[in-house]
Amino acid sequence: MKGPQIEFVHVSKTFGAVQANRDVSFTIAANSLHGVVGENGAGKSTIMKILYGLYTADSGEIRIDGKPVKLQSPHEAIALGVGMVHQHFMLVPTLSVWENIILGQEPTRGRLHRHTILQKLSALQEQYGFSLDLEKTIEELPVGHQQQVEILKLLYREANVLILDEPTAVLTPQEVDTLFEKMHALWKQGKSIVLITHKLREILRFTDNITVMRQGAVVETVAAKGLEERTLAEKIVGRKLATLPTRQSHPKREEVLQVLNLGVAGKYGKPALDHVSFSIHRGEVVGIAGIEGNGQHELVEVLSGVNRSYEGSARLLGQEYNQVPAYTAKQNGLSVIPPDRHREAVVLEFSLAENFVLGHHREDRYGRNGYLSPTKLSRHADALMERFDVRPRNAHLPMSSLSGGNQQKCVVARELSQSRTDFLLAAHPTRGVDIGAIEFIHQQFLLERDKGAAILLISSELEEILSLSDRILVLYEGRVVGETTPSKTSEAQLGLWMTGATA
Amino acid sequence: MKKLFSALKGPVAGVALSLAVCAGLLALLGESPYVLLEALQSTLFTSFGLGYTLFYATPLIFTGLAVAVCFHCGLFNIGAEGQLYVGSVGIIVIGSLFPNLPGALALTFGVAAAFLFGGLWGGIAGFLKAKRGSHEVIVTILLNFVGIALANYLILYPLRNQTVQNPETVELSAPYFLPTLFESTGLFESTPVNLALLLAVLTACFMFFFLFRTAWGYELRAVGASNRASEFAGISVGRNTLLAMFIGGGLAGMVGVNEVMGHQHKLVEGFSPQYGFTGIAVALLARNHPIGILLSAVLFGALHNSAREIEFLSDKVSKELSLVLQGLIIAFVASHYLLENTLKRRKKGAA
Amino acid sequence: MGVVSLVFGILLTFFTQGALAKPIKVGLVLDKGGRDDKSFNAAAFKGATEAKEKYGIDLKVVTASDDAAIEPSLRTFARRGYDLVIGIGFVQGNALEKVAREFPKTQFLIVDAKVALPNVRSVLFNEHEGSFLVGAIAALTTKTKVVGFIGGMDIPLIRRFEIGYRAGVQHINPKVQVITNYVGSTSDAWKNPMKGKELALSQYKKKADILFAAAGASALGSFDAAEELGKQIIGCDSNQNWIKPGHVLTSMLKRVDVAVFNAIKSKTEGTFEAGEFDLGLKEGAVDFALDTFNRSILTPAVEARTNEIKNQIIDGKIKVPDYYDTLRSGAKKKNA
Repeated sequence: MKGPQIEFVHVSKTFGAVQANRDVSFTIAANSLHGVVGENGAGKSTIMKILYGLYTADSGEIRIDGKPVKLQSPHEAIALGVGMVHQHFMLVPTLSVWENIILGQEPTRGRLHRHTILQKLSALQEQYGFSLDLEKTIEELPVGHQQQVEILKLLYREANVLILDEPTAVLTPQEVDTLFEKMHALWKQGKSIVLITHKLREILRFTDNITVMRQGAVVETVAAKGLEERTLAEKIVGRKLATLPTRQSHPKREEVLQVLNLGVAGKYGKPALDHVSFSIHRGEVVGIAGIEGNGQHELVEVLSGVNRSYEGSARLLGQEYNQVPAYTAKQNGLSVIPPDRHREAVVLEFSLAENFVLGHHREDRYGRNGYLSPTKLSRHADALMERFDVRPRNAHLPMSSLSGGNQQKCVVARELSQSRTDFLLAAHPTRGVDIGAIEFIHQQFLLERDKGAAILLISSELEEILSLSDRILVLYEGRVVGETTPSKTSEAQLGLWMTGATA
Repeated sequence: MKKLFSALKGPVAGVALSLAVCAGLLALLGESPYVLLEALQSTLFTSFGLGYTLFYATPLIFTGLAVAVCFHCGLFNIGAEGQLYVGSVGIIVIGSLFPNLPGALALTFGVAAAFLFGGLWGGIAGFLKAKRGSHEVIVTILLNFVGIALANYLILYPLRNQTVQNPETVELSAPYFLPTLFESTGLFESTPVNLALLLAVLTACFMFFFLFRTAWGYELRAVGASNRASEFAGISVGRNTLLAMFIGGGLAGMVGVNEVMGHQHKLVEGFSPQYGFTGIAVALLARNHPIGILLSAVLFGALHNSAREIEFLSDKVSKELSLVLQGLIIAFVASHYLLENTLKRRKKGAA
Repeated sequence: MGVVSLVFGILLTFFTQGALAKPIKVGLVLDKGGRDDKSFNAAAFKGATEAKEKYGIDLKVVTASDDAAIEPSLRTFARRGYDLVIGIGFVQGNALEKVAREFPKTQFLIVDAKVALPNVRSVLFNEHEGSFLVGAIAALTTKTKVVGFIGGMDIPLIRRFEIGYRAGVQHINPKVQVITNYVGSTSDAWKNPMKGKELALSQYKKKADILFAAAGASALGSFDAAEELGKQIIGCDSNQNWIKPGHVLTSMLKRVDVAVFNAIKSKTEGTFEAGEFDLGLKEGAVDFALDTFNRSILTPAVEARTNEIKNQIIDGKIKVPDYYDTLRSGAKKKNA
């Protein structure tokens, strides 16, 4: 079976007041490697969910091999050979691999012929070059393998078109390579692969044709061959991008943050952080690379003043973290961009104006003796929204009504607009943020650095770490396993360290 | 103005719908649906009916606020019933310890005692939640039993008035009496609505100010909306949990000001027709907004009051109709919010 | 109707004007138990209904579902121009006093409490006398020589029942043991049939074969226990012999129905008298019940002996101890 040709013809879809897709027309050729790119909210996920039967289009139609089809549910999509791997896996952690694969297709009466199923699955694995242990439970598998289970699940249902929504967000560079190899092999056997992502380098490397979307509409569909990353990025945002300023000098100055033999207890008696030591100076950006879950979270908690029971020492401008109330630290030059935007960085139910003072709400400039003046709050908010270009410009909207990029801009605006920022702890500052906002946020960081702030950047995007950091530390199982500089290393090298291979 | 309209839309529609359903029920039972309107008319638009409505609304304002302030901190205070008894006992205890205080001081002491006793009772749940992570729902439910039992013990034994059959405490001394509005203004013909109503209204306004215009209220709401974000902002979750439960308990305790200082001048066993639990409904209808609570407390006061009117007006339906009405309102309003939230989520999912 | 024959008081006037003029309006406020409690409130409801049938009065009955509702209910009646407003139960005493003071032209009846106002008729019963009689019946009937008493709420009123009952038992046979339990000390004690049953079961287990249950709706649980174990029980307030025929030895009657009926009657006849009335055996206001339901278990010998005692009490030959007297003397001692 070949991956069929899929045509979108004038497809539109609105949700309430939001036009998610506007007159979308493009073609995914038979047996092709096709990319769909665009900023958050550009409508790329929506159009794919329409294809997968999760949403129905308001107007327009979808043709598979020239025949118009009406897709009402994922079941119908699968029946036509269209399958989708979501960003968040739909697996039952406590069930085994094979159980997860047949889930939803298990016989509703009679016996479950485990042996036959296993045989069929093994044949499938051999055909497509997978080597999963079918008896293991999902929770025992690394993320990359879980993703393979999702893919195998679709193959088991005889899908010929595989839609992958941001598949590399959770993977290490090595896992990304493996994924692309496997996808390539599938393509060679006749399948079509549709890749939705905002990582331009990957899409350029892997696909043949790229459909660029902006504000719900298709900008154009271009061939990937010979396309510059920068050109593609500009097509996506619809304007020219500025280049990051290169730094002028590297003066070694005052030590701002000093971490010495820091230890934090983790689950099952294994330390989450184990004798971590490093320091950051004024005007310096230190990047922390590592696969998530290797101690970054615990490090953030200590360095933002949330976790006050740690071993060893962590000092900000000479002051031990757990000797100073977290609120006071924030008045004394500590700025934090927490890793989980929705849960940690903002209060979604609060208005923008209220969010702009979070962590500084007792300062006299917002009202004296505990009073919080609404006029002062909204004046403050208006000024910040202007300066950091937050849209829409309405300080009374709840934070939850903003797009991810604008929410993150609010966080950055709040943290970088205090009377002083000596130390900026930025954890995943651009996660889920679109290209335009990423560019802006990075510029702000470098401005702060040049003003003399020490910055600790924690990110799973190696690209980001490599382009911003002066020094890079690699965190693996709670320990610093390597230190290097961007000029002396590569993504591949870092990727190896991140998986525990010694330097 | 637009905001006010959209906030009132849900509750008003819910109330209207509930009235319509009840009118239908009445018709089915062979009673004139007009009875319902007549009952509400006399509970809201006659000075006698309104007097009692406001008298019932007063404790509901306090318990509604008690639930709402905790809700703003992400806590579900089901313990207002126990807290209000403990607060009421507080007034009697202080009143019997200091019977001869001059007027203004006695009133201050009485109100402070109600708040502090209730607050300490609520604070226990807050403390356990902050220190031990015990779920406040369980703790407050259980403390209801303990609080009521404690109050009953004090009413039945050390504070008991031995000269009467009914289990009730000795009387307060006169400086602790809050005058009824009838005594002080001549309005509301001899109904027991008293100055505690004024106190309740002021308290609601103050709570609005506290929650939405002060840094303390800001912290409390931040903790309620997001524990983690609060920690990252240097706001102590534990301290605010304790504070919210203390204030909540204190507000519930203030019910005693109305009942003991304003009305009975003594504490009678089992006086509360579940003001504490009705407070949950009052807060829900008002979406935990202090000013909204004033309105919804009056509505629930009127419904409670209308039970008697219905009984007087009709031989065919019993006064439990008012309970049906209350239940319907809660159900309709809650489902309205649910619907609204689902729609919102759908919209968000689209973006 | 048997009730009419039991009427107490000397109210003779024929109703001359009542039938022609607008019917008089009577408002009755029952307490929590409501008209279906088969006991105290039911008796009041019965008396009022009978009066309505007989005199064609305009009767309205409401139930104060909680204590806070008593005062507004009484007051609403008074405001609406009811001629006679009746409050049932000592709990209503305070509220009725307040309202009666405000409406001096309206006349009130309060049962079980004393309100000293010129427009209020307070009716109290000598429960101890009736309890003495059923105590005697229990002592005459028991085979195990152990009898029980289950009180509702532990208040002086119910103690009065207990002390009278105990004295009646001991008057017959000082060797008969009396086990006593109270359901509780709060108003919930009136409506806890589970506890009523539990206490009854445990008393029967301790060899008691006859119980006297003065516990409002909680007593209904005790009746169940009597039926389950095939034992006997004595009812209270209303005639409860019919509830579990063959198990209810008799009922201590407290004629609230008659008190209500007579108050309405005197009102229609224009002879309503305010003041305090203590009514006992002599007036037929308390008694023991004998009807077809218990005829077979209450032997003629016991009946004869009981009637003999009854006459002795009425004649003053037997002095029944009154808990209220002990209370009063106790208070005096304290003061001295």
